[in-house]
Amino acid sequence: MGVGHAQDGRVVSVIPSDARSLHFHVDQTSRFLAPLGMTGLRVLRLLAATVVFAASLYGGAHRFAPAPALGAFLDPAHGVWSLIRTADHAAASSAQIAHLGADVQIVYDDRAVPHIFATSEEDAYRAMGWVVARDRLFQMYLQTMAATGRLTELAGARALPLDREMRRLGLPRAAERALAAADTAAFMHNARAYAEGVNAYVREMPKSELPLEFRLTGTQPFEWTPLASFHLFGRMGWTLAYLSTETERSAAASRVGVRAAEALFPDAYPIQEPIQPNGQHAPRMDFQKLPPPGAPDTTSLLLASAVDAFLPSKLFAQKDADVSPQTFASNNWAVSPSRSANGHALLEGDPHLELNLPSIWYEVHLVVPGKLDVYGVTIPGAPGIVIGFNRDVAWTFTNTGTDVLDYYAEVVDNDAHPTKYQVDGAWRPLEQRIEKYAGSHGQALATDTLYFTHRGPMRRVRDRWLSMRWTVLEAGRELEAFYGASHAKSANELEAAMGQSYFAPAQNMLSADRGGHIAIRSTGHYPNRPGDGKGNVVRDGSLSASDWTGFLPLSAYPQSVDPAQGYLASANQQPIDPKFAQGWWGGNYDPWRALRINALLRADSAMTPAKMQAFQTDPGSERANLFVPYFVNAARRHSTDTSSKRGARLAEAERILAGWDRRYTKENTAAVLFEEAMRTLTSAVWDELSDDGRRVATPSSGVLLELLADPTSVWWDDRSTSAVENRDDILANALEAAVASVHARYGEPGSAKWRWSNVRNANINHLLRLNALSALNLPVQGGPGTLSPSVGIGTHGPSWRMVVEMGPDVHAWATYPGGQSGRPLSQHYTDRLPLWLRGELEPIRFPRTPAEIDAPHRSSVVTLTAAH
Amino acid sequence: MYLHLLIALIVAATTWVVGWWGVAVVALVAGFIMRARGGRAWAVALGAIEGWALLLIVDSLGGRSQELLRLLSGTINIPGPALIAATLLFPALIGWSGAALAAELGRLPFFTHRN
Repeated sequence: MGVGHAQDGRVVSVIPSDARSLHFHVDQTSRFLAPLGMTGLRVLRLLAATVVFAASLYGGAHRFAPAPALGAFLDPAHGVWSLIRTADHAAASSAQIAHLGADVQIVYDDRAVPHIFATSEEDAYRAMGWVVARDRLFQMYLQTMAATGRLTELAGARALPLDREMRRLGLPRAAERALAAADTAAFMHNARAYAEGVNAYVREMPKSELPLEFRLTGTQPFEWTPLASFHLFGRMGWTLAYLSTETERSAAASRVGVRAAEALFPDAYPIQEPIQPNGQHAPRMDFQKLPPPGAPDTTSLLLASAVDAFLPSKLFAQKDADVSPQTFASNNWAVSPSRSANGHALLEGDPHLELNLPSIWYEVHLVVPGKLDVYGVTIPGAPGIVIGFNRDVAWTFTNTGTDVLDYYAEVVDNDAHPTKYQVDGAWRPLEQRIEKYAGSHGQALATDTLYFTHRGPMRRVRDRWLSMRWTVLEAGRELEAFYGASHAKSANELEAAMGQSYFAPAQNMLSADRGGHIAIRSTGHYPNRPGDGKGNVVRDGSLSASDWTGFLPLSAYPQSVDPAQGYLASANQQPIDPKFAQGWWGGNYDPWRALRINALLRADSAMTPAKMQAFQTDPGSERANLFVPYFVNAARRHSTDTSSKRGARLAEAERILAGWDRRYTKENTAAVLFEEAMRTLTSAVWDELSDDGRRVATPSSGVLLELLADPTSVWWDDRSTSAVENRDDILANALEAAVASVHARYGEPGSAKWRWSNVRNANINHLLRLNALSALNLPVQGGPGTLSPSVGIGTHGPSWRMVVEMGPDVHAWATYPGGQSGRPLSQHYTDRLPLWLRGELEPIRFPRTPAEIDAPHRSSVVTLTAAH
Repeated sequence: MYLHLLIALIVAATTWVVGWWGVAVVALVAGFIMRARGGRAWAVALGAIEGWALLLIVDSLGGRSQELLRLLSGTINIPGPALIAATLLFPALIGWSGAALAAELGRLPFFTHRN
């Protein structure tokens, strides 16, 4: 386009026809601006400059989700590029915090663990809030958003189902009530101080330190309050205090009847190696013959549907279990001085949770001379040490898995818009709560009206109104429990502090003290139910007689102190032998890890911390030890004709499995075949539980082992064939199919592709599931049922590994998969990963004074002073 | 001849102190001052690029530029060089347009009569 202009300012050059419109406008504008002395070219320039300038400023300041606002993002002084300068802490710095009573010194050691030296507990917790915010700010906020059902504000409408689940369960409401109930308690001073520390950091944080994730999501940290800490505990309860057994049993009953379902999902696990020692010197196999499938019981569907309504994500995870089984499990064990090499009590803990970057845990040490000296891991946002030790006692947890959730069928006044519900013939008002969901720009996405009875949230399920009571929704005092643990002087004091205040999720709390005592108690609150005490039916909500009558006394909890066997171990198995307990105490987890650790501890009466570290990643598998012989024998019986394809495959399978040492090392090339055979066997055996090709529930592998002891059970028959199969037929079929499948995927047996490290990896995702910020495809030792379990897609596993020796001086070793910093550019973002992958721990520094961390072992020092 | 270098130093300092929108302020002021010469918009744009490039160099002294580029390009699915180009183009656009705008407005009779 050629453009010229005459003296009078009009555009005179020829403009192509497709630009005539522009020509017209410029010409007209030029005429209009002529009195201002502007030529056509200048008008064009003015227009172009105005448009570009306005667009640049708008794009610089405005977020076009998912893209961040460009100005703040690209700004090399304070934007994303400045993260290079702020990735790691300066060697020395200072900061001010309002309300600080006296100066606080924080020394970060060479593992980037902050050791906080304060003169009052409130100052110590203030500083704790400050350091955690400094290293894990985005994680704190994301977890709070998730717990309060506000993820839509970050991710938009796609997060609505998750947010709805949180709010419809009443988790935010429960946190508010727990805070209100605890408001005047002494430990709340520390929670408030912690919040002040977080907010002090956020207020004074240079723009260049704003974590990358806030920049990517175009969000800013909000004011932290003690309520946010309560939300986190609610979220922890949601994660751990849900039991799938009753749901699966109900779903199974809808296919094979109640009697068979109760046998497939039994209250008493068929293999007994309980947490509370029962005097046995070996696991007990209480195998029974499974009753045959019966007529479907459709009434059971109501309970199964209740989970779908109240906890849809749990049901989704359950249905997806074949693809990505989740392992919210844990190990812990303690050894008495009588069985340790140096005569000190030893304690081990490794909670198995979702593996994330940054890790769920943050390591910290609080020192207030004469009052507090506690070291351990905290959940970012929680003002307390959750797992750790002080100078006198160490403690750790595993999940108990007891049923603490019940449903009630309610009678309401108006089925469409209820306002009242009936109890003992009298109407009670329903509490209503309006929940609004906002999008990333604050726009309204949805509004829900929620109903609550005195029991808890109420929802419509299969044409009925069901309410739910769950210990997670009661006003717990977990923060007070952790506060008590930090100050405990003995295992007894620790168990007492936890027993008094800890509510949910129920945990097997293991402790060992300097006096040589070890103790464990399955602590939490357990409902006292009317009738048989079980919570596996939908109760009549119109009767107050259906309500919980309180909680069981501490004395009834599974527990043990200094047992004669000289050690204690829990791996989520049933905590107490059903022969010695009334009611059901949970334990729907397979017992393979429990069997393994008990076997290892029984076999060694001179335990050392080094051996305990090695146990943490022990590749041995009791599951493989028990199942492999059945496969080998079946293959042997069915491979007599090796000239046939089937015979050759089975002979090959027999050779591979018989020669396997049943250890899930990274190098082994047999585990891949065994796991594929187990998967195929499980599908083939439980065909009676399938509905339209999809299994509605899967009995545990312990029940499968129980069935293996009965070779002619009707459960072995494959309903899709005319023949009647027995155990060995199905085992051989599963093995043959597994050989074919593994051949097709990985080639010839023994090749590198068959190596376990090629098949099963750990995948540690970033909190936002951003691959570039994640650590993926990490080869690990361990498999399903080993002490360091690796299952499914590898997103769950040992999230913290700790060994503590409670001698005159406390010695401890630990690590976790990730690093202390939540900043992906920091050298401490993933610096612990190689160690974790090798199954090694680092010695922990546990100084009494700042001077005990000498200069070579310091990475940073911060002095906090009071802001005036 | 060295005008763009002077602008670069001013842009870098202003960005450091007040943030990205400092570029707009510098561009407007420079364009207005140099309105008689059309605001020297291209010089301002060049200076803005150089100013932010200078700040990027300061950032890179932290030694993890490559790592950051890898993380960013993996996270927002934009190649690293494109991200750097965007970072330099952005102040250039503000610089050029701000200076040109201020120059044109500065040449309106209101301002010329005052002068």
